[in-house]
Amino acid sequence: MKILLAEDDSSISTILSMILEQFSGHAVDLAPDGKQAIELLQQNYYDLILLDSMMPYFDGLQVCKLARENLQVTAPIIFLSAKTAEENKKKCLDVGANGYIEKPFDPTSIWQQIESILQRVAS
Amino acid sequence: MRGILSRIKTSYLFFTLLALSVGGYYFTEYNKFQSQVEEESIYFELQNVIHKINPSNYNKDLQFDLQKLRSRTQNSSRQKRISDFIQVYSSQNQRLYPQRLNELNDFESKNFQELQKRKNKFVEFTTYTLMALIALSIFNMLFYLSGLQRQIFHPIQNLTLKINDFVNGNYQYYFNTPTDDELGHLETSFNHMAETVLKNMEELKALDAAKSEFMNIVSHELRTPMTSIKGSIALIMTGKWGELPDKVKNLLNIAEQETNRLIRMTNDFLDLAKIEARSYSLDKKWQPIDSILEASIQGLKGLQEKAKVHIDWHTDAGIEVFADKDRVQQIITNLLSNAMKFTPEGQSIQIFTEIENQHVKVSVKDAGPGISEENQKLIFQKFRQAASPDRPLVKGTGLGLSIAKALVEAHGGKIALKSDIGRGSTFYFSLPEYRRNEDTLSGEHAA
Repeated sequence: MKILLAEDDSSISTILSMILEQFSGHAVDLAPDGKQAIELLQQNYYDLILLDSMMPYFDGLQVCKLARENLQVTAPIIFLSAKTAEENKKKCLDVGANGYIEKPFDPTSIWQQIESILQRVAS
Repeated sequence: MRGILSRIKTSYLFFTLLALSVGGYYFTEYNKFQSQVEEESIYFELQNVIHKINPSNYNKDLQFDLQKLRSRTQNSSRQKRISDFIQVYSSQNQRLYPQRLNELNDFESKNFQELQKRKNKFVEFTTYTLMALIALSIFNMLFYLSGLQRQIFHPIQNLTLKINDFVNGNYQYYFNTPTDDELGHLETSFNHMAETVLKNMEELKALDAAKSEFMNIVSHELRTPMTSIKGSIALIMTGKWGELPDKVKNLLNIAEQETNRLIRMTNDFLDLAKIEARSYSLDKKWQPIDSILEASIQGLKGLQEKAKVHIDWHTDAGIEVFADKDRVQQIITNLLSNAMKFTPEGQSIQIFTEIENQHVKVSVKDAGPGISEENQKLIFQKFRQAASPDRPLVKGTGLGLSIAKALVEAHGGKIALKSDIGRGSTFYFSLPEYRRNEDTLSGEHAA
């Protein structure tokens, strides 16, 4: 499974990519900001896209919108965010995201959370 | 400034002067009338004297009477007539006596008729004056009433409407330009006050929005490093980069626990700030209090197993509350987890629900060491914690009771505690919106 992780905090991206590689069996592509995330989406196909809400250049919402509307990305998109208010979750779903995982995430259960969202999308 | 008061004074002065003029004029006419009355009585007395007079028999007293009458009259022609008569009488002038007597009688009868006429005229005058004064009073009163209505009552009613509008949230508060008098000034002052209040409200709204924004930012900034720390520790502890010595595992456990505690504390603190914000709203619905209790107890099963305590709950039949389910559950969970931390192994925690003072009262009684009076006063403050119990279960954040208090008060209720050293503590809170639903049974439950 090819995964794109867009996250500007290097600590989190290191840890999360380690966890994801363990379960997906494949290297994870990292984008440290919205601009590079878009570039990678233009060049490659991904089975799963994980987006942080707040990033330089384009934030998560903008990347998601662009991906869905302009780049015809159909793969599942999951947001990772520290913003927990209901209206933020709704905004993500409005631009075409499939799920939302709150930070700080539990490293021991995050893969299960991702899987359950993927299962929901598949059905 | 031409005020309403000066207008009232002016018109009052005007009408008073008018009444005084009329009164004064009447008074002068009355004086004239009085002198006419005098002249009339002189007529009768004179007739009297004339009848007593015997022309051939001179009586000094009668002459004296005549003289007195003459001196009383103000009418100079009359005086002359009487003088002439006195003269012929006193001089016993038989020749001129009849003539003078005729002249006097003629004069007197004509004068008398004149006096009667004037008397009637005066009575008419009095009647007219009275009618005029009555009309003046009525007109005056009508003038006042319409003036009062227009200048005082209408503005007051308008201002009252304006104020009511404002209180109800309708802020269009400029009806018309206020008049330049006392009530107009009142209206202007009210307009100023309304502006100030609205400005303050805007500022408060802005502050509240800024606070929410701040909380969002803080939330993100604090959670990000915590995520990394938690993640690093968890990855190391999977052992995939090598089996860890026990000491290392212990240290990592400590780091993990404290990180989790930090996360809980941050969540609690942000939660508290959110609840205390003016814009906080509750998702209230009707539901049985028992189901909320049940959910809370279920959620604490893990903690209860570690603490090895029993829970006995006694509930009143079918009480439903109009409240935010998650938040009330949070209140009960906070109280219950405290009770579990402080109740020794094997002992019981009691939960009661009852109706008291038109509120639903939920009490959680523990078998712990009790809380001293000084501490009782402080216990609901932020970050206050009791001395560590004998066995540390889960270290608290110190905010549980503050949050419980804020949530109870957000529902319009009150929270308090009763405690004695050595005899445990009972924490209880009340909710004001409840009803009875007889479908559910009461009971004693044990867990």
